[in-house]
This record gives sequence, structure tokens and C-alpha cells, in this order.
Amino acid sequence: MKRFLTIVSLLMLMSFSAKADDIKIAELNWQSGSMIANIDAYILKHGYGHNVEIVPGGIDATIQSMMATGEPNIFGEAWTSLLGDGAKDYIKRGLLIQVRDEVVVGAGEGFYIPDYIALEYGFTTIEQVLERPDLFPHPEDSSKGGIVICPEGWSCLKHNNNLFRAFDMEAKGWKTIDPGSGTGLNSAWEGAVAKEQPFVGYYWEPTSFVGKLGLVKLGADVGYAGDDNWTNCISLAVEECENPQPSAWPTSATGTIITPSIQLNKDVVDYLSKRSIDGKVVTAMLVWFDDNQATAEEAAVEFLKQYPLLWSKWVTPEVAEKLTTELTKDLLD
Amino acid sequence: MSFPSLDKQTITALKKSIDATFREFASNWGEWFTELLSPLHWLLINFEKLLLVTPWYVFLGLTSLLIWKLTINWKIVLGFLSSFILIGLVGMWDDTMRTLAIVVISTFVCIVIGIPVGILMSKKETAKKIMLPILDLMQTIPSFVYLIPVIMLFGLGKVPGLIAICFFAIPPVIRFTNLGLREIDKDLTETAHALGLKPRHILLFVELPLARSVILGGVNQTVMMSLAMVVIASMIGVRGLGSQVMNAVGNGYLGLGVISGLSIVALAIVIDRTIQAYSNKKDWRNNTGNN
Repeated sequence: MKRFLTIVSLLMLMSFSAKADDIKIAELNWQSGSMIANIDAYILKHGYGHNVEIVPGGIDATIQSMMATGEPNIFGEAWTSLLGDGAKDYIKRGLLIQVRDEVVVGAGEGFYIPDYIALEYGFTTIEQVLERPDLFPHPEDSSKGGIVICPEGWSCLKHNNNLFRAFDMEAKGWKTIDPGSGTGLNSAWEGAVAKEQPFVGYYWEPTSFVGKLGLVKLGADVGYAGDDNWTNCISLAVEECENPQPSAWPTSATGTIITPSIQLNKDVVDYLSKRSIDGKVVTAMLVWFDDNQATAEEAAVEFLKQYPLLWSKWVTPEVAEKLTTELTKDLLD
Repeated sequence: MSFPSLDKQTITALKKSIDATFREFASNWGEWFTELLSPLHWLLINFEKLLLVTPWYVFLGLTSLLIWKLTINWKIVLGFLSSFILIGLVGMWDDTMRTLAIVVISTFVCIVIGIPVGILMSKKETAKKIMLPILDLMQTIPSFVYLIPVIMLFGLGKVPGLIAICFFAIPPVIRFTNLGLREIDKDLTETAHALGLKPRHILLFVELPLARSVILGGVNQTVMMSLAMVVIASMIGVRGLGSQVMNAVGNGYLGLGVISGLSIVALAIVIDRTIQAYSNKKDWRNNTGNN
């Protein structure tokens, strides 16, 4: 009986202490996002001693959940240009807080072509590619050119559809191809590159994909047509954007967004506001990620092992020490 | 105490060699496979165009007639008309036509391949032994596992969609054909043989008609599974009700999800009731073998 009571009270104590410090981090469904989420989780758990839980989600699902329920608490690599008006409003009103921008330096989306096409035809801008629909036949209608856009349900679909209208692609003899999902998009790119077929479509950096497959981003002759056009037309639904102007893609702003409840943890806010990684480092990590078929958790640990000079700037010296000890423990495992 | 698995290097090397082998295969054979299936591709695109271009009243009229002829049951015709009118009212007509087109062609392909395979399975024990584990695999392997190589081979579009649908939906028709033919009273086939009928004629005029209701049950299940696969097919770019569901899921639109989901359900129920009524309509004893 006595043993039973001890066990029960121990369990209750454990469950109470577990409730104390729960931080939920959104593990995003793209490589750099999930790696950064796991880096945050590792540092907050082993460095600062918080109880961290990783929660899956895409951009829209995560931000909606944060607005509606206040969880997850940390959205590590938020591509702020892709957040809807609702989210931007919440940030303005202080219901969600953006603690920093430029989480990844030099991130960007755009239209890409494989390097063998760039080499053969010398295309460097989207306008040049649009002149040649015959080179990129649409699989269901070979009289038209096919450009693979962002999948249904992704926030970038609005930008893709509006740019399609802005550049007059339909008049130039093009039709969009919907890849259906992230898997569809990736497999279609891979298949085309494996077969050395011409392909033009949406992608983003930093990704190992772009590095591995040798994809070249297309610029635009018209350049970036200004923030007003981008924020108040291109980023909105097709019905709400009357007169989209052709434009190059802006360099994407990536920020970290947190819920107000986390603000009380000054150490967390301090760490997050200092945390920023150069795009080339991220791409290198992502190539490692792929080459070793690793999980996001493993990639995070590898990053921490390979770049101590980088991350030690984000944390206090005591935390840096704690983390180094923890990492060497891992090595000996 | 975790399982003593192979070391990480070996497992990674294994995974990467599968990747590389397939990439080689796709780069060498991709074009050939696409060419091979191009008539199917043509059929898919043009049947969809046909359904989309047909005015809705013509479609409703002709299909009601077809359903009546197959079932002689005004309740089913009424159910069809009311559900499709509702589908049209909520703006899901075009997507329903697209989904109907790919489901019809996929089911047709599944039947054309499935019934002969089922017949083979019922006649030869070795065929059955080989096919059973393959069928088990086809029904349980997660769809993305075979979707990825299919897209790498064929690119995006309707043909990989059809392959995805058929891969999952063909086992019922094969299994039921095998079952139906094996369950026939052996006395009947012996009588037919004694009467001097050749094996081919026994199959066509005695066995298949006797197994008809079971085989139609298999066809029914195949159609249901094709409709269930519609959402997975939309994950590789097949437009229709499935892509509306994906849209709803991605953006969190519950209303759209409900409407498009219920449209798929309506399609399934109408087709299911029609096939069931058709299969029960003629008593097998009276069936002279012509439909």
C-alpha cells in the first residue's frame, strides 16, 4: 500500500511538473522549416530547460491555429509575405508577435528551369521563356505551353495565378499545370530532370532540391514592380486583384512569429530574436539532409555540431556550454 | 533495448540505391512508357471534354434513360436526378463531370484487365498463388509509395491518376471474378462438358453468366474504390471533386470540403444502386447470355 501511494504521488508530481513549461513549436512541412523548428526545439529543451513539444503543420494551418487557439507557440520560419490579411492584422494588433525577420537570409520563391535548358537556350528571364510555349508542351494539350504552378491549397497559389494573368500567359499560349501536392511537384521536377525534358515551374530556395537538381531561377525583365502591386494585388485572391502588374518575385521575408503567452519567457524571446541563418548555410544543410536521408531532428543536431560559431551567438554563454556538453554526449552515444 | 538494425550507413546506401536505380529506369524508359499509354491518355482527355461540353439537360436526360434501362426502378432514377441537380446548384457540376470521366474510364480499364486475370486465377492454381500476395500488396501499400515513381515515369496528369486509381481499385474485381467462377456448381460445368461444349464456350455461355452477380459485385466494389481514390489522384494534379477537397483541406474551408465530399458520396451511391439493381434484375436461370 505504501509503495502504491509513493508511486501514485510520484506520478502526480511528474505530471504537474510537466505542465509547467509547455512550449509548442510548429514543425513545418518543408525541409528548412522543419530543420529550424528542430534546432529551436533542441536549444530550448537542452539549453534552456523548457518542455518542448513539436506539432506538425503547414503555413496556413499553423497560422490559423495560432490565431484561433494560441497554439502552437512558435512559428519559426514564417514566410511573412505568404501570411493572409487576418494574420497581418493580428500582428498589427499585438495578438501575435513577430520577434524578428530574416530568419533565413536570401530566401525566395520564383519560376525555375533546369540548368540544361538554361544552358541550351540561354533563358534568364520569365519573359524569354514565355516566348517559347512550343518548347514546353502541356501534357494534355500540346498546342499550348505548360507551366507548373504551386499546388492547390498552398498560399503561393494566389501569387502564381495572379502572375499568370499579369504576364498575359494565356494570350501567349500557355496553360497552368496543377501538380496537386508537394509530392506531385517534387516528383514531376525529378522525373523531368531524370529524363532531361524541358520543364518550367514554381519552386523556392533554400531547398536541397534546387541544389541537387540544378534548378535555375528566372528573373524578370520588368524587375520587381513595387510593394503596392505585390501586397495589394498579387498576394490576394484572383477575384480581389483586378489589375495585376507583371513583376519579379521579391526576396521573401522570413520571420519568426510567437504567441503572446511565450513573451513571458524572456530567454526564449531573446534567443529567437537573435536567431538567423544565411541561405547558403541552410542550402548546404539541406543537401546533407537529403544525402543522408535524415530526419529533421538529425539535421538539426548535425547543424548544431557543424556550426557552433554560428549558434553560440544566439544564446548566453552558460546555455552555449550546456548545449556543447549535450552535443558531445550525443557523439559518444 | 531497441532492435539491432543494420547500421545507418547501410540503410542509407540501400535507400539511395533504390532512388538511383529508379531514376535510371525513368530516364531510360520514361518516354517509352508514356508513348505506350498515349491512346489511354487521348481517351481520358477527350471523354472528359465530351462530358464537360454536353449541356446539363442532355446529360441528365440520357443518363436517366440509361439508368432506367439498366434498373427499371424509378426510385433510383429520381435519386440520380435529385442528387445531380443539387450538385449543379452548388456549382460542383464541372468538377463532378471531370471526376465521373476519369472514374468511368478507370473502371473500364480495371474491368478489361481485371476479369481476364480473375478468370486465369480461377482456372490455374499457380496463377492464384502468385496473384494473391500481389493483390494483397496492391490493396494495402500506401498510395504515395507507388505515386512517386509513377509521376517520375509519366509526369503529371490523367494517366498517372488512372494508374493510381486502378492500382488500388482493380483487386476487388479480380478477387470476385475468381471467387464467382470457383463457386459455380461443378455439376453444371460437367454437364456442359458432357454435352460437347468446348472449354471456351463453357466459359462464355455457362460459367460467366452463372457467376454474373458475384462478378458484378466485384465491379461495384471497384467503382467504389475508384471514387475513394479520387482525392489521392488529385494529389498528383487530376482535377475534379478531389482537387476541391484538397483545396478545402489546404485552406481550412469546411463548407467546401463538405460539399465536394458529399458530391463524391452522391456519385458513389447512384452508381452503386444502379449496378446492384442491374445485377439483381434478371434471374440467373433465365439469362440466355446476351445483355
